[in-house]
Amino acid sequence: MPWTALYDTDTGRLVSVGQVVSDPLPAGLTAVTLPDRPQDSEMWDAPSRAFVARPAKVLVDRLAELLTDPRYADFQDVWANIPAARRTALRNAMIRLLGRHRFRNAAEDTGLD
Amino acid sequence: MGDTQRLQTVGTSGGSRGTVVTSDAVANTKPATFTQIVASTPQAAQAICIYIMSGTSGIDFLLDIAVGASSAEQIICPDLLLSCGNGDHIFTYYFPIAIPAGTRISARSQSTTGGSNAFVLVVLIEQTFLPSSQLARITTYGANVADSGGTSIDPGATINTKGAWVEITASSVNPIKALLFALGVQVNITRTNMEHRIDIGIGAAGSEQVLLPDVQVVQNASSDSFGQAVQGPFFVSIPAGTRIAVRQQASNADATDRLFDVVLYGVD
Repeated sequence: MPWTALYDTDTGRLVSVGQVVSDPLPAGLTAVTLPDRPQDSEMWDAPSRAFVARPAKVLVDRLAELLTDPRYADFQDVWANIPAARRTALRNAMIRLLGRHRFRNAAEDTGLD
Repeated sequence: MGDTQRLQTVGTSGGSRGTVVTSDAVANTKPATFTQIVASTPQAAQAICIYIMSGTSGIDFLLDIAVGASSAEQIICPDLLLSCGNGDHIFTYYFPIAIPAGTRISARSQSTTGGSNAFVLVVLIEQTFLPSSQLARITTYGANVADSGGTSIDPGATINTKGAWVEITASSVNPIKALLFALGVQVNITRTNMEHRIDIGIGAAGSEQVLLPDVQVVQNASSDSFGQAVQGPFFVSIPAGTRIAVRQQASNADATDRLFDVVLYGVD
């Protein structure tokens, strides 16, 4: 059975996705046949009444924040005054220390919980 | 005489975990062999509580629980989801199904990373406050064996507004007398604190009727998981041949974090 998307004809809001569709279609809904079940990489766009690519998730590098965020000016001041070779060693140590906490969701606080 | 109850746990290990069940070395593939949880159940059970846990972060499992002799296992609980964010995670399934005394119970699993360990404990519950007609069969809907997860549910970009219904099954294979569902995090371990409300509905697209309204769950940014990731059983009466769909609303519109997987389990 083909996959079908039902959307509100006036607003474009997606109402339902599936293979079993009401017959007759309720008033105010438009049906569009899909090539397959929508993938996670897609999301519905009401204005265009179509599935579009889902934006890639943006993660924030806490290590980069430490070196650029004005709240850590003291650390940056120290960082600027150590030799490059020592910076590399320190950076590598911080990467190991941060582990899976190195990258955070943009909505999360910088601080580790 | 009042109701009597006896509960016994099988599958305990020397540590504080259950029996280790290692997934196939190939990702998202079930092995042919099962791992024994117990050689012979010490008592009859009218319900079972299955605990599945893992300490591996950012991994999804689908587990089968089976009964029967080695090389002749019969799967009774197919594709139980365990979805792990950060740290230890445990999914708890309560199924009102009967298992006779003297039964061998075993398990096998697949996972997004091959050769990963999950740990299984089973509590045998004898005589509880259950309906007199015994349930015996579990049918799974919405599991995705290609990625050891479930069916993705998107609430859409408008926060706190129910999104579109997503079909879990076009036609239920068996009747459903008790319904459970499990939520997966899609191996996303950088999640945002977020609240959700979930509807389960039945009926054709465009004419869904809400069966189970506004089940509340939350996802936690620290553990990258859902509190109460397994819900139910909810005692229902859904005929075979029914289309079942799920929709949800979320308190945050992040295009990735607002998504979750769902797997439904129908018991009859």
